Amino acid sequence: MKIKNLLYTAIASLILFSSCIQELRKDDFKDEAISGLVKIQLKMPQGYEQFSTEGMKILLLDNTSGLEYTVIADANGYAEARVAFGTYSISSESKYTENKTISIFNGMQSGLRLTPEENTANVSIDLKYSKSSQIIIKEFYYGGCQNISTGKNYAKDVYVILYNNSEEVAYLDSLCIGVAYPWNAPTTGKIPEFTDVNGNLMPGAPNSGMGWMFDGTGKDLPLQPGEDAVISLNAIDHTKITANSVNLGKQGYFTFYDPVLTPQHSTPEAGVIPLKGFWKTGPSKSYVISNLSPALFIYTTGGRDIEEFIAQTYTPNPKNPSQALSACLFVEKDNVVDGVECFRNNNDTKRFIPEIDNGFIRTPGNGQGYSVHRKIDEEATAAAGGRIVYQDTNNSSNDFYVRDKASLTEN
Amino acid sequence: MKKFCSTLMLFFACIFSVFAQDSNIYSIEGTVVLKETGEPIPYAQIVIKELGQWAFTNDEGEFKINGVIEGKYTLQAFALGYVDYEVPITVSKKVPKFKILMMEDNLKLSEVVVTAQAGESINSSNKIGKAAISHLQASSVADIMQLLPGGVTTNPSITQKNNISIRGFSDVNNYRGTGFLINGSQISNDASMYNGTGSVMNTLPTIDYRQYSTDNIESVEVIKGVASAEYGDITAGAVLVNTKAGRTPFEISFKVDPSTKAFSANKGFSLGKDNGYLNVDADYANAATDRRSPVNTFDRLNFGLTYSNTFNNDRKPFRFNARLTGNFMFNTAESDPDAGKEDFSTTRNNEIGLSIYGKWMINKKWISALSYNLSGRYSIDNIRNYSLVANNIIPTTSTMTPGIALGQFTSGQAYVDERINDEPIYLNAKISANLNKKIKGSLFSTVLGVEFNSKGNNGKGTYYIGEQPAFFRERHYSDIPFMNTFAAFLQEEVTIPIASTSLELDLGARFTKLAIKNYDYKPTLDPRFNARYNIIKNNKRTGVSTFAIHGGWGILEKLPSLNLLYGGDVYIDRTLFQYKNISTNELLSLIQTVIEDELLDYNIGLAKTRNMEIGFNMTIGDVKFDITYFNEKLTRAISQNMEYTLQPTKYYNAVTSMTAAPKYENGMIMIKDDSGNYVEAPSTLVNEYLGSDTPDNRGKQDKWGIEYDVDFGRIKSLNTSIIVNGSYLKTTNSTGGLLYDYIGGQDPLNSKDRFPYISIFEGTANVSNGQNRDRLTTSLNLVTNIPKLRMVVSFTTQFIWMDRTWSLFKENDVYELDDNGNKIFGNYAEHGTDRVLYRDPVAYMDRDGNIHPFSDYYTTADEDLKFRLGMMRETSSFSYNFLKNSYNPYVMANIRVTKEIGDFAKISFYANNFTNSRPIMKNNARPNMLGDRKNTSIYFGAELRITL
Repeated sequence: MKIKNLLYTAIASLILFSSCIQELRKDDFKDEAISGLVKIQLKMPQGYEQFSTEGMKILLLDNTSGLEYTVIADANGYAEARVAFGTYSISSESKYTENKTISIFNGMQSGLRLTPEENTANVSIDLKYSKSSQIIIKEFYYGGCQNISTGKNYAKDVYVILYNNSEEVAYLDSLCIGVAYPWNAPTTGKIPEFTDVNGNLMPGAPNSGMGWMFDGTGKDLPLQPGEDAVISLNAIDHTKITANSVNLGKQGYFTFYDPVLTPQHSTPEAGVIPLKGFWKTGPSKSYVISNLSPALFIYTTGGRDIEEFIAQTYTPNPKNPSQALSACLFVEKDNVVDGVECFRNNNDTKRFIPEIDNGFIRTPGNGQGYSVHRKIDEEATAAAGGRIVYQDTNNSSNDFYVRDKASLTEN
Repeated sequence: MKKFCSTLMLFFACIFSVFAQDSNIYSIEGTVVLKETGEPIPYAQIVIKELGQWAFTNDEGEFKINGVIEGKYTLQAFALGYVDYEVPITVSKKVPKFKILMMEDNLKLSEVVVTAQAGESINSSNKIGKAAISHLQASSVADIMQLLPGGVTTNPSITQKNNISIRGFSDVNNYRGTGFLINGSQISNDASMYNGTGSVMNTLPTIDYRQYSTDNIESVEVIKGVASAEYGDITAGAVLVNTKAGRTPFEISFKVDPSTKAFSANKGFSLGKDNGYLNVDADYANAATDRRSPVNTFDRLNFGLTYSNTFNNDRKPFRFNARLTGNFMFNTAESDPDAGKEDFSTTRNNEIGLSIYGKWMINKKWISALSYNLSGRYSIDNIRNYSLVANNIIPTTSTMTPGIALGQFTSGQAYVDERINDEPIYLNAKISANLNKKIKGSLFSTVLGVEFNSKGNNGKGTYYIGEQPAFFRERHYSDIPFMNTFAAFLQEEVTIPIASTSLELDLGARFTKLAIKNYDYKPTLDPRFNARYNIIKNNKRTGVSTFAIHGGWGILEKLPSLNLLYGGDVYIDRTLFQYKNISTNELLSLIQTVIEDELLDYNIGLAKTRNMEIGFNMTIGDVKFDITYFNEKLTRAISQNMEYTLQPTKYYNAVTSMTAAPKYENGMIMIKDDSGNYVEAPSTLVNEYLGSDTPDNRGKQDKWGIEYDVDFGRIKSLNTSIIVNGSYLKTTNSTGGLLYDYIGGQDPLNSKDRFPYISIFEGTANVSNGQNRDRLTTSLNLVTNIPKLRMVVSFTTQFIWMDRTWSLFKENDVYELDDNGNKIFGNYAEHGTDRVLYRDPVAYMDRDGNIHPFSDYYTTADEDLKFRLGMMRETSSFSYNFLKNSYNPYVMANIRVTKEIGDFAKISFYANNFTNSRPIMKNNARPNMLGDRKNTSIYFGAELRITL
């Protein structure tokens, strides 16, 4: 009898407390004893003081618990937030359209810890300026799918879709595309190797493995507003191998293919335009894009010809200077057009600086057909009169979403 | 060389003819009976150890040995199921009625031997008897090596390859250098052409000992020191196995352990008076890596049939043995059933062998005995790998002619059914003649022998049923000529009595000539020398009852394996142009094929060791000491190397236009330009290096160690023997000579072309040029036998005091760079560094084949050259690279129990590491890293043996 009573009391109190706990989660943390205070100061970059910080949204995110808080900055760029204890990354971005130029300001700081012992913090975020570009990465399908007949992962159907997000014709000539080093995002707190002596990322992006460029003299490869450019690793009809894959052998598509540099890629179907491989390091016979967590970006040579570009940007790996395989072409920050950083785990370390991608996008796993796709910017699409305009705040956490199936499977 | 041999033989012949009449010859007759009942023991072997003369008892237990030179000898008697018998005798007249009493070998005896004993030859050797093998519950011959001084406990496992190395660690040089002989026929795996895939060093064949079960073994002898001249094609030592022959009762046994189930049966039938004996044995074992999941299973089936008889027993006994064996291994591995659904792979090894061997006691003035051994083995090994693979669609060709030609395309996804058929054949014939002579009180025993070996392969090689992978060519192993070895050996054993001491000398030389088509090998001569000086022998009166010093020195050589000499033609295919247009069904590919002849234009030398050992054994009171120091230098071991030739190749640029309509005409690829006219497609000239495998003999191994074996004797009140043995062993593996290496990839300064230089390194293309390893172990054995309970318990504690590995560090060869880019040389064997460690090549070769010193990197003013050379340095960013990886001492204990139930059953049980002591030990070179678990995992097994 006694035990039964105890049991009932225990169950009852549990139910009571659980609802309390739910309550705790819903409300703001008003109680000083169980929350910390974060004081945030946004700083506009030099030369852009004419833009006001008033109304800029600041997002505080704890990756481990999933708690999110949003506060608004005042005209001085100051905001205060009361949040639960934890480790936060604080980011802010905002967009201004003026004279057909879209200016984006974003900045981020991660690793801010709030504990009962240290329950106040002062954060200063230097916002960085970047422009939204004409050509953006619309979709990136890198995880591969499952081969129905063998049951194994099939990752040969990797592709990227570039898109003209503006209202004028864009030219793909001399546009370059590559992945950043390291091929997979560093895990468990490791830092990437292309950092300066203090461990900070250098201003730019290290293009690793191979250098690819759209081959043209200037106006050979136009991309109309609202038009796609599909680039694949193997330009064949993959649906013949497994029906849930895509057909990448269509006329007008592009492919990463060079007969000398990538002899192990499938022979591209006629009608597909091969990109020009202008640089390669290492003995591999195919181009490597990670299936788990690649960091893809597009860039220009800044007007330089190829030899000059290579000579000026060739950077040995600071941690392993004589290992040729890990040397990169370090593209300067201003020459990077767009980038998307894909993670495998929430706490992977970033390879891109905030100007290129202030966040990350993550799929549940590889080999299941997932792809990452940009979200549609409803306001801008309506303003453009029906031409789809995608969201580009240089933050893939906001700009991208995960698709269950790659968009080209529906063609 | 030839002159020397013939002079030597003439010299010996002269001596004997002169002194031929010097000594008197007698005969020894007697009976062998069972001690308790007096019952005669048929088929017992009586041996006069020093002369090698023997006789077998007949059905009434009677024997007669003729032609015994007068003198003092040791008489030994052996019979299956009985304790070995030994007694000193002096032969000065005819011995008419010598009675030998033998005791049954079971646990009722007061002394039971379950450890390794010192062998009887002059050089270091160990003898392991049947009782020790069954007490250990060995699942293959490899498990027996744990009993030797310096052996460490390993859990028996027949799901993976079992290797043996004598006085060495686990590396391929030691595995190949260990000889394996069953009943005097040498087992080799050197004609096996398929040994896995990978580099030359990873595909050298070694013997897989799990193919041979242990239940039909009568005794094992392990020769560790300098082997005498009759053993060839070895560099370390030899394991000699003798199987049962004679009358034995019907015996069946069941063995079980966490991953294995085994069953065996054997019986020796008497075929009637003077008709000899027939021994039949069969063995089956089944193992799985994980009993819960049948994904990887292994089966072994052995059967053997031995006929043995002695003819003309009274006068010139002729011993005849014929043994037919079948050894079969089956291995099935299925892929994870949750992943690739249909993939599986099976391996089937089927081996049949026949050996005919024996000895004939001729007892003439010019020859005492003749030994012969003829054997042949034929193996059929079939491997099947079946998988469903989705590959890229790329051009392929299977042309067998070099040049530029059109090719085909692979299909995308297909079932790949790979079959590998390897059929090695071994033939062996060895005849030796022995002559015993006594000259002025010293006994001379001369052995002269010849041996012929032939190895070849009749297999089909690798082939595919259905879809073939890109660029595959069939290669039939049956096209490879046989490798024949002719050897002759001469051995002279002299026993010289000097007052109360005796000096035994064993001088020998072995002559080897390898003959194989397309190669021309010079013959080699290996001298072997062993000596033992018995200062005090069995003198019970003084404190030190035995004291002997022994030593040896010799050269031993190991032949290269067949797959090194005939590695198969190498086809290098490069696709120059490819075009695919499914809508118009156009497919065109142009492939350039270069064929590299498999025949090397040099001879791969024989690996050679210079072995030496020196030691002593001493008995003080009840304690026996046996301590040996050994030193082996292996040179000319197989190592890998490459040869690079420049081949400028014209690659066509990619063509994907829908209207190109390419065609191959007049040696050029023509495509339609914009106006519809055919022009040659644009191309780029790429300076490619083609590399070919050129294995050579730059490997070296320096080995030295000290073995100790102390037998403290039996504590009678406890019925316990205490034996402490162990060894210290150190090996250094390194490579000499020059290695050619190509970093590959594109030229960083000109992306259209390949990297222009070949690096030439000293030894290896690595920051370190070799590896060191040493280990000090002690094994404390307590053996208790309780005759009343018919039980023996052995308790072994294994101490590993030191187990270190470290990379070879060569001073002034490895450096780091300071902040200004200047070299700093440090002693990295003492301390680590956080900076990157560098090692430079010694030279580099340019596209014209000219070799320049690497010092150009430091002296050149050409920035491009300096940049490229900088990429050729070897680096390591491991701060602990040269530090000694060592662990503090750790201990483990094993227990083994054997109990007899009456006369018909015997149960054994063992537990390795029964305390489950698996400490996580810190690596002293990397104290902040997660440690390693030491000691084997706990393992146990039981065996039931029934004798009917």
